Amino acid sequence: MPEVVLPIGPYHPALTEPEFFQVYVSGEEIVDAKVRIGYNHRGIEWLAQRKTIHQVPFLVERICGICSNAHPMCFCQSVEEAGDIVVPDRARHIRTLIAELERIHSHLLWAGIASHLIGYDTLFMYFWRHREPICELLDLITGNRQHYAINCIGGVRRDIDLEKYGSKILGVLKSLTPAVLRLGDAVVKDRVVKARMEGVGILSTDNARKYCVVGPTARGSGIGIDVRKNEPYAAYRDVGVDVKVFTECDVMARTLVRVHETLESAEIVRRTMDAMPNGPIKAELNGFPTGEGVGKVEAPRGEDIHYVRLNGTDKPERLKIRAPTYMNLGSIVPQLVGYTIADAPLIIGAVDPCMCCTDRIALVDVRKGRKLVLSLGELAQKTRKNRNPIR
Amino acid sequence: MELGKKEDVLAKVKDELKDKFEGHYAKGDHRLYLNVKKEAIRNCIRLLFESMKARLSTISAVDLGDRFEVVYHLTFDEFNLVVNVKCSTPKIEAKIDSVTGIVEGASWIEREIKDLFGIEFVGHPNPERLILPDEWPGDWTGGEYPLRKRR
Repeated sequence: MPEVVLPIGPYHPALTEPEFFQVYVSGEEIVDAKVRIGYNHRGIEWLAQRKTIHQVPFLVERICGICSNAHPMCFCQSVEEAGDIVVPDRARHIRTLIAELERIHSHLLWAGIASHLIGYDTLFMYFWRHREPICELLDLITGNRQHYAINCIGGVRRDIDLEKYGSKILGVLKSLTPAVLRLGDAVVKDRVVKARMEGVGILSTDNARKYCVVGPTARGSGIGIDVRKNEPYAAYRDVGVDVKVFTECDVMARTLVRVHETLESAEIVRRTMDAMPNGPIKAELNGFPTGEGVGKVEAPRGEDIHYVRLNGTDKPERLKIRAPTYMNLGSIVPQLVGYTIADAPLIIGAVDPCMCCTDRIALVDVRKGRKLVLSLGELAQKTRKNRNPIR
Repeated sequence: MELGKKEDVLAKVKDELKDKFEGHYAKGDHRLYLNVKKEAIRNCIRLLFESMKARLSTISAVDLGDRFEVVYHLTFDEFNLVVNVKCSTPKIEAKIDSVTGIVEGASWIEREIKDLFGIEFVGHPNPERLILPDEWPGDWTGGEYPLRKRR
């Protein structure tokens, strides 16, 4: 059967964000894939080098609307490392609290989307119903449902009044845990869901290591890495993290990792509230730091890393941002090959791709057989350069 | 962190690279910065990634005026250490050996750096444009690279 190229994207009803996948199919089976990213490239690194280091946290916050705490926290940590700034205990705990609430809402959002992708919209609505109170909590604590603007270099910008909001937070968490357990059960025990998720999108441990994947994608493939555990930042050394690893390497394993993480995050929020010390929320800053620093944060999708080089002026000389999806999406080709086209949305979804962060994708590469479909840009380019004429 | 792991990594890299090793400094217990000659970068990454089981976190390029510095960030998750391997290449002939053959995950990172800085990664299996639009001015040589500093 001849190979057919099936273009998905960059703008497509099935995709929530712009990305371009060229999927090479033989009948129903995917034989290869090519990813093209960049449709969301906004030049954040370029912009960051033209803003002061106190403005950059708000800029990098806008990289992504879902993990909008991870990036500024990561940037602040890298500057704090370069300048040897010690963050006060209370600020570290507040950062942890926000980061974990963010992880809960991000994982619930993902679970909803994954349910939707397999056509189980009831589950999608249930997951999102339980996500809503978390967003409201974040609104209550920080003033915003997303883009919390809580991090600044040396600490956090707002204090949390636990006496006033503590009971409300605990109330939401109290109803969240049984709900997640129940919905998790609905995923694990449903035969249809199992049929769609088990043994699908296998990413072997070897491949996971080769592609350097991070976060839930790695933990679903038997690689137990978690920055919170391996390199405890913020208050994770004090409150502890239980990292769950699954070795099945399929979409189900990645789902279970996220379900367990949601429950664990709720526990971490409780422990953080218990351990919340009193004191200042921001360190005194003295001028602009010099030198270089690496900041690492476990965003909901995996390890986020920022490398900053400072020269003593108010602007960073270089800021390199690497979001987790960037590494995870690179591993999509081995995951897709051998499965049917109907599995593709779920496999892509199981990476929890965040194009805002990654800002670039398209997959499939055909080793044999000619290309049957060209995107408009490719067509234009070929025509203009008059080489590799279209046959 | 286990005592001596940082020193262990340093000694092994020094031993492997010999005169290609140019210097190092450590910042705290968890960050190690190494300077190596660019000819030795493949050896260095092979040693760290294959023999010592580090994970490539990312690669950063920095424009230093007349030359580029390329920094490879490798993470040792088990003992909480980030090794930053730096090498530099002159701007006139910005070329460096690709490590994609060793670490599959470096492919996109190298393509991105090629897009944004115009550094050529010699031996990259698929050096196509990744994040800039196809219509962006210039081909791979002599084009316009957004993150290069303007003179």
